[in-house]
Amino acid sequence: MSFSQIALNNGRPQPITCHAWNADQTLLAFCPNNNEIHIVKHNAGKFEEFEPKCILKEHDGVVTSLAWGHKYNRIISCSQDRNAFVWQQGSQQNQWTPMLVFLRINRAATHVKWSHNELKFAVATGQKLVCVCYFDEEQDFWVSKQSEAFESTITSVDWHPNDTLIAIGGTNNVIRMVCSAIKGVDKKPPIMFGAEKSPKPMHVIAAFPVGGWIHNVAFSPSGNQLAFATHDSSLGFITLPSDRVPDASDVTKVYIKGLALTRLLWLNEDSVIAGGHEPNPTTFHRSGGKWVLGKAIDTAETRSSGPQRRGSMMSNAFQKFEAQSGRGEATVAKKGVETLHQNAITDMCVMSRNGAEVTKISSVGLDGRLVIWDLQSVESKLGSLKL
Amino acid sequence: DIVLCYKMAAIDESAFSAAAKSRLTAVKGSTSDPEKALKLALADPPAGSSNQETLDTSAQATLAAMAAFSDAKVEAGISQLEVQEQTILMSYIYKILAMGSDTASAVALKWHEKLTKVAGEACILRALSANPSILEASRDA
Repeated sequence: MSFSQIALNNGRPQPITCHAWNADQTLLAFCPNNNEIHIVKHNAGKFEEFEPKCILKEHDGVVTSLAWGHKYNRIISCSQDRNAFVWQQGSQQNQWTPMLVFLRINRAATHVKWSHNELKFAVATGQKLVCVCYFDEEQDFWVSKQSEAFESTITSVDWHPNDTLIAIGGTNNVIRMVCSAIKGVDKKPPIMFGAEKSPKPMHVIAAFPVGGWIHNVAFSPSGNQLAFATHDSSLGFITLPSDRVPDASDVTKVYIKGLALTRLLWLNEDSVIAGGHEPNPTTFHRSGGKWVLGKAIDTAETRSSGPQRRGSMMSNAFQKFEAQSGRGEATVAKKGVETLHQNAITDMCVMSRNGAEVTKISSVGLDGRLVIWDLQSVESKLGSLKL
Repeated sequence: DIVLCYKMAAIDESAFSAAAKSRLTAVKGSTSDPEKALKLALADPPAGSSNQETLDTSAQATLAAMAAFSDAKVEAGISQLEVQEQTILMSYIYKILAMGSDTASAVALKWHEKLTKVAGEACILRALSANPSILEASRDA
């Protein structure tokens, strides 16, 4: 495994806030911590090559989240400028046209996710509410339905496979399940958690407190479980009951010794991988019905040996000052921080699957690096990913 | 009926206050068995209390328990604690550091270094971001 320094500004690394791949991993979209979305062509090989293709400039503020819908090849971007845009590729390969989304929010948008059928998307906002957007044919733009306002900023949203339920988590320490069916777009939503009748659109179906700020929520591939990363350096797991509303007693937590995790990905129904302020992606496994910590995948064995081709583009002098100001170290250890990511991971994405198994994932971080993790190669070098 | 918002459990201030005082006397009485004293001190933290005195008394109890350990036995004592207790201990350490006393801070800093080595930086994260917390009197009441 090696890294690619894809975000640079005058030779200094730039943080990457979010990234998304297209369906066959030939194109990558990412935001280098400004109001632009960069689209680069990915040539896989011994060293991953990235060719700049185009820059999408429509936002006025930092783009906080990107989602690439593989079914219709549309990118949705949301930003701190309270806007979201849906981008469609034009007839020319490098031409992307933005479609306006009528979000009607007056705070930043923090996270966006396409539904599984890609006809709707959900936007988590700093206005303490979540918007579910659908395309209005008559008006020719995307319209949003808003939920009620909760206690604090929503930081993450994820769709249940049935596309009528979303899980939201925020800085209010509470995870809520909101019915995200839209009248006119969806059929009547299925009854969840043993309720008497169908849930009302944009209404809360379940809510439970967890011990800290929630950074990321994600449903498992079947939708039977929900995993979430909270700021108390732990991942929480809940198996959703079918006959009653889930509450805090259903949550099991797995604590780690490092810093907080901010992004998690489901590898399969029994494995999760997560990264965040802890720059070494760590796996979690369910064995015997209990969730436990697995191995961290960034070790000396999994890193490519020999010099990194896209090695540090900073001179020694820069590195010294970077270490002092960034990490408070008086002297630079020979290799810097001992992981491929030199700083926090901000986003992780599933790249490719082989049937039901996830084979490759990518992570980007505050250090401007993109690392592509080949999980099969990692597993062959580390043995099983379980401890 | 579905509880759609998170309401913190009601806090019984008088119970917290009485518990803190009894913890202090219990700890002072068992300084000959430092590990027992530490477990006593870390039990039932008055999290979310708005009474400054209750929080201070609890912190004093923990300080007395920590001071009962000899330097060599500190790390062994910490390893005996569970994850939750380590987090509570870290919160008390920060509370003691905030009190500003030189002798108390010396003990607290020594324990902070050892606790971080055993429990990792995650312990600091949990102690400082815990809600409800024992670091400062809650202003919700």
